[in-house]
Amino acid sequence: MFALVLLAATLGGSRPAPAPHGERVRIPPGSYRPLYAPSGAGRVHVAAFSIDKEPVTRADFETFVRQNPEWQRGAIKGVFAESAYLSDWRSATDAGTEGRQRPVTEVSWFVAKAYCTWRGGRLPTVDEWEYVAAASATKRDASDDPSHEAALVTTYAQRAGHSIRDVGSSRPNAFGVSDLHELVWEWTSDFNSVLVSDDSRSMGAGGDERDHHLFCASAAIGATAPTDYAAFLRYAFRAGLTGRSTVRSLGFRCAGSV
Amino acid sequence: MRSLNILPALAAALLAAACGTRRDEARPIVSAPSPTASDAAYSVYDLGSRWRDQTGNEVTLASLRGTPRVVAMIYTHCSATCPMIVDAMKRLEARAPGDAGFVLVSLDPDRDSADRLAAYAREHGLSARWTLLTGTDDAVRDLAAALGTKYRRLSATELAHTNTITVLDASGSVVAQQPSWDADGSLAALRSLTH
Repeated sequence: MFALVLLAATLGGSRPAPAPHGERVRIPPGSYRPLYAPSGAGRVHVAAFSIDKEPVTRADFETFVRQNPEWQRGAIKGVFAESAYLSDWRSATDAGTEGRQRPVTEVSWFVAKAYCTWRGGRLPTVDEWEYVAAASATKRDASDDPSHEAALVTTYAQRAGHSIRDVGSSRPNAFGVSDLHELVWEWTSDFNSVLVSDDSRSMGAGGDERDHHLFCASAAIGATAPTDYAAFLRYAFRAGLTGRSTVRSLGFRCAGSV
Repeated sequence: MRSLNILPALAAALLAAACGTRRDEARPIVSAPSPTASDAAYSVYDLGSRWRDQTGNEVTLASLRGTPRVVAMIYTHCSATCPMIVDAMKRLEARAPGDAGFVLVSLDPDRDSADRLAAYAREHGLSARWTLLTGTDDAVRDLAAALGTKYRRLSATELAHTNTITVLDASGSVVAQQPSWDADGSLAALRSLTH
């Protein structure tokens, strides 16, 4: 018996305590270089905000759906989520005993938004997310560091081939935020703003209206950092989503205004 | 490093998903993100958001229930693509079955007041079958997310947005989405709902 207690104490001591529910990091104002810059601007200013240190976990999300039955699997209205919503949960209110500290995935944008509102926050914008995610472990803006970008591409490839790990298992970046790239893709409040900057104007007088590639093909040409393959993957992924999409590799974290 | 080889293929797949439209393909724009491609039927009207129409009345999306609707998201100060979308919808109206309604939802609620929408309806000669709606930024973002519409503010006066016409059945389920220049596809969808 004593040995068991000792073992438990040793295990407890060696394992870092999980971040308390909803630990948020304050992010100072700054700027970042978006893949698609608005015309005339190379960098976009981002005001101060706060963001969760880690993605929302399955355990966190279980609390949410227990307290908010309208968002439970089976009860949720179809416009808010596809049928794969939380499909690997044991039941509508039970995330199961395995992987409770993994990021919750197969959650739609509508649901993620409702969760963050319930927590007294909101989803981060694309600008906020990309600004924080541009940091390496040592530099707040690593966007000019080719080795960092190459490492991200490797990270994305590797995570696709493995089961999702617990939150907090990677080193925090220079802002003190973890897991932005290592575990899953993440929802942003304006994920559906990905299109080329001059879309609504490129069908001007004299042009053949079919000679208009909508937003996507021209977006890559207009990118400010066309060699930033990691960012390109993120934007392409966002472009394939609607608000009710539920994807195995897509989770979220919340943000707040400060 | 072998796993890296999948990346170009992944990127190509993502792009194919995101870029359904090339100039020679008269096909629905949003092949991957399209709500029509998803599983069970659901109603856009379940969004539950509140709007104001061109007469100044507060309305819910659900009040549009009961008849097929042709929907587009535009803004009234838009000079290039939006008039083309409205023209395409007017051509549809001329050929469409009598009970279908036409709905324009503003992407620019700050400037598109109910009065502004009423003036726009007059300028464009829109009939009583048209409903013009303005709401909050959140309501607009929600509806766009549900319909698969992409948009972004470029400046104080301009927005970029996809040029999509959506056909909803009487219950609010998305039955078709076409780029505005493919009116025939929208018309076929509309006829299938009423005959």
